[in-house]
Amino acid sequence: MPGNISVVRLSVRYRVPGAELNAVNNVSFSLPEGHRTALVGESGSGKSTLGLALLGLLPGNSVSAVDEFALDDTSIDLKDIKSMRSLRGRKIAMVFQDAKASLDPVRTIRYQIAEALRVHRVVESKAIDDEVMSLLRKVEIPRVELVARQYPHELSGGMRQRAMIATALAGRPSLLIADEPTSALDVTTQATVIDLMRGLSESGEMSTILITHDLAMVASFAQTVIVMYAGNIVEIGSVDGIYKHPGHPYTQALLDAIPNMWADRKRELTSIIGALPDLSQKSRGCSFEPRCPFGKGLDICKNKTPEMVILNSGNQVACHFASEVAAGSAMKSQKWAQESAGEAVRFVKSPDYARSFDSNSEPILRVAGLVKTFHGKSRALSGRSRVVALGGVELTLREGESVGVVGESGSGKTTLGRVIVGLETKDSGTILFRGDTGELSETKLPTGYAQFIFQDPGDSLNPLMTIEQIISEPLVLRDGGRAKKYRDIVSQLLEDVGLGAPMAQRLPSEMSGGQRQRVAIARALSTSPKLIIADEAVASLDMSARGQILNLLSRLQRKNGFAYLFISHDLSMVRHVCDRVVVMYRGRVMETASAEDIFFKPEHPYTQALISAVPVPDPDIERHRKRLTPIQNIPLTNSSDGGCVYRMQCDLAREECVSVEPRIDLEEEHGTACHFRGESAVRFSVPVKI
Amino acid sequence: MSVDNSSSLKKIIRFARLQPKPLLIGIAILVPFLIVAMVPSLIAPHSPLAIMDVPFLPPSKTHLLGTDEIGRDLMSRVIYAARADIFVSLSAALIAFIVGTIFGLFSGYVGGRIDTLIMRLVDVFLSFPTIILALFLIVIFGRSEWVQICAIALVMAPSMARFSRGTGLVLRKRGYVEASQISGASTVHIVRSHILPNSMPTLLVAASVLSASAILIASSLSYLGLGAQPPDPSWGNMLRASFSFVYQAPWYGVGPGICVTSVASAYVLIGEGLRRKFGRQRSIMSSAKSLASL
Repeated sequence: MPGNISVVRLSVRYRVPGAELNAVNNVSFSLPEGHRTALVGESGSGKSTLGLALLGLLPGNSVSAVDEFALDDTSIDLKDIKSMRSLRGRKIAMVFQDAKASLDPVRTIRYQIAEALRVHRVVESKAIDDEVMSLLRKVEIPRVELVARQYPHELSGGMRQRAMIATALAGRPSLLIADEPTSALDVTTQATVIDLMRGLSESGEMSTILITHDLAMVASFAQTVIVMYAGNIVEIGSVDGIYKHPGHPYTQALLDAIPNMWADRKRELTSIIGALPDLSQKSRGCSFEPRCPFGKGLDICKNKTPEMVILNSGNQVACHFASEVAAGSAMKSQKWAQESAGEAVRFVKSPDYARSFDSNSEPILRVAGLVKTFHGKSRALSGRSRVVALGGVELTLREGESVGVVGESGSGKTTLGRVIVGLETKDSGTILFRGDTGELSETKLPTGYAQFIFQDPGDSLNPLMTIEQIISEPLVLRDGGRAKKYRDIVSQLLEDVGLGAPMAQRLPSEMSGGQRQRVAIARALSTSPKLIIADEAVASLDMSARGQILNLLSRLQRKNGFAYLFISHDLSMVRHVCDRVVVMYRGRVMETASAEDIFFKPEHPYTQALISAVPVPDPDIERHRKRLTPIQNIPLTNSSDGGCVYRMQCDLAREECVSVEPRIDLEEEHGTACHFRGESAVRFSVPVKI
Repeated sequence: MSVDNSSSLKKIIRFARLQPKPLLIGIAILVPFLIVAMVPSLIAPHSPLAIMDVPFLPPSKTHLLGTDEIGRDLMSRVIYAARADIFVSLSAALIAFIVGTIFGLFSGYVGGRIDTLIMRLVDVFLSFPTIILALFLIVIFGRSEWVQICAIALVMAPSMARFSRGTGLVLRKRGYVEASQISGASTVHIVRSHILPNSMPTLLVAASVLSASAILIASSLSYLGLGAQPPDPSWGNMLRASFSFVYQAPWYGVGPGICVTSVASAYVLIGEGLRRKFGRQRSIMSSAKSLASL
């Protein structure tokens, strides 16, 4: 079985104007054949650079050096462009994040896979067609004859990624490197692609290196986990070793920053304070020292680069205090809590993280029968395309409640938020706000009543305005005057979001992504709104900043008492912050219930599929869980023909589902739009840790 | 300032070295022309109207560019012509820029029927050949300098509107614009404080290209006899005159020709330089900041 790799002292530097960045520093590791490895770290940790270096695909401004790189016991010269070219695709293949960009839009899938086969001369030309089909079957594409004739744009994202994997497999590589292969995919699709990649590797074809920032996903996939930080490998270990006995403070911090869907909600997410070190400076000591809760300020950590040590768990750890860190997990968690609460304690007295939400409080927003259809450009013959983004959505939001809206791309969750605040017009239906009278009425959205937090903080702040101008803009618009008039309010808001008043005169370009999102939050809070809609508010942030922002939002909610519509595709995050969850699919609400019920007793087959697809950062759970997968690659229609919209992907669908659209009863605590909720409810069980 | 003269000069040099080359070259070409246009009397050796010598003298020490058909000094005429040509073209470009930008940004931001209406109007204007449209306007409204300026502005404003509509269309979907909408901002507020400042970098690039075509249109018009009226000099009417005497005095047209080409290329170079500069930098603000730190 091929695919054993050994890398000895690999370094990569990037030349940029005025500096040299040490992207990868003297990295060594070796992996046995047919092995599944995950390479994890935050952005900037050097994980993608390492992947590109192994392919010999580094950009022109880079300098790399390696003592030895061997694959299948044959040494490979990364400098030899010609031999690398012949190895690529044959020995080492790569799958990129964006299959849409990696596939040629004007060629059929068959052509593109056949091309790879011809280039590598894997099979005789007569046999190419058969080989294409067998490759497509291998990546579990249904109806291969049809798909082979199709063009990339005719396939769904998951199918495109499968086709991409098929082209990568064409050269029968012994090593497959996949760089964030599922980041662009929906959660159910992501799970199936990861399962596929694990299956391919298990069948003994090759070794796989999965490069990702998502530690939760790794638990179900990898045998070995390599953790990188600032260009260094800080820890290598078996998947159990890494998750159960992390020996490096950074690994621990990464694990503590991911919410676990089925774990205790009372825990605040910890986050890694500070930012990546300047990669142009060679640090004498441990690169993690400035952010490390354990070794910060210690002489040995500052001045001596830690050597790899092997712990009892089998983990190799680059830390002076590896055994203490691994052993003293109790002490560690205490210390972490103190550290990350440091900024929080200022205004949070109560140590109890879980909020008790009063379910009898007054509703502040009611949405009924909301319909929104987008019309595409008219095309010859096929006519105008129509996309039903919202097909009669019902929703009630009470004062101080946080409601999560979850669903995959195309479910209409973003449109819902945008229609509520008036960024899109509705076709029909009612949106009621609670006006000054205290009654719900269908008025125009009162100024400052609702605010929106956008996904990309780089895009939502005007780059030419100072932070003060940005935060005071809603106040200027509502109450008049100039930005200076609100200086006191702005500094208070900056304090509240943990930035500090001196930031007021900065420009957005002088801030990090996490800081910008804090500014966006401060702006949203400036008018003391009743309702805040956060549309994927943390999706574009790094893992370490994510936890901080989520904690911040929860804390501010407790302080200010606004209701909170949290639109997200990430169910673990929703579970962590929301009281109630609304599950959407193709513009309809499928299920709505308390967060507890959605995650522990989901009734709708779609909710069940979603929940069972969410990766859990626990290898024990991942090993014993059964996925309920929606049927893939069906022609997706958006027409409301009267039946259940989910029936095409539903494994329980029957005749009744075609003719009668199931309705959701909003009066119920736990509402489900399914004819067979009794039947589906019993088949779901939360995997128990064994 | 004067106390620290040498170091501030050094600072300026250091600042200039960081700028894109086309921008520096463009400015280096344009600035002398601007100075000449502002104070022609200080630079020109003679009056542009005085008959100095015999006609058609070739370039010599006394007459650097020779003399024209009635013996006027060509050098002096070229210098005085700069005033008329540059004034007309810059004023026209400025008016076209302002009018086109306002209509274009609103059109792109507001969208819908208003956008359709403005853009169809733009299409109508663009469907006329530029020169013929300007010619038509001048014939109707007379030959004064201001009519010229307005005519040139009017034929160029539609293309500016179409261009700025594009940036308005892109920027209207930005998060900060939408955040402002949610807070109840008016269209005028959004265009003024979000869309206009953020489209400035691209608009300035367009404006320099606009200036280049303005000077070409201005000289074409006076070439056709619709610009400055003889005996007042302009590069266009000198070129026209030189055309008739190309056998007697082949050097006649060289001076005005070089001037028109240089000024037009200077604008294009500045445009290219600005494009590179803004492409490199995230915002126009940072360059404003570095300027302020001088």
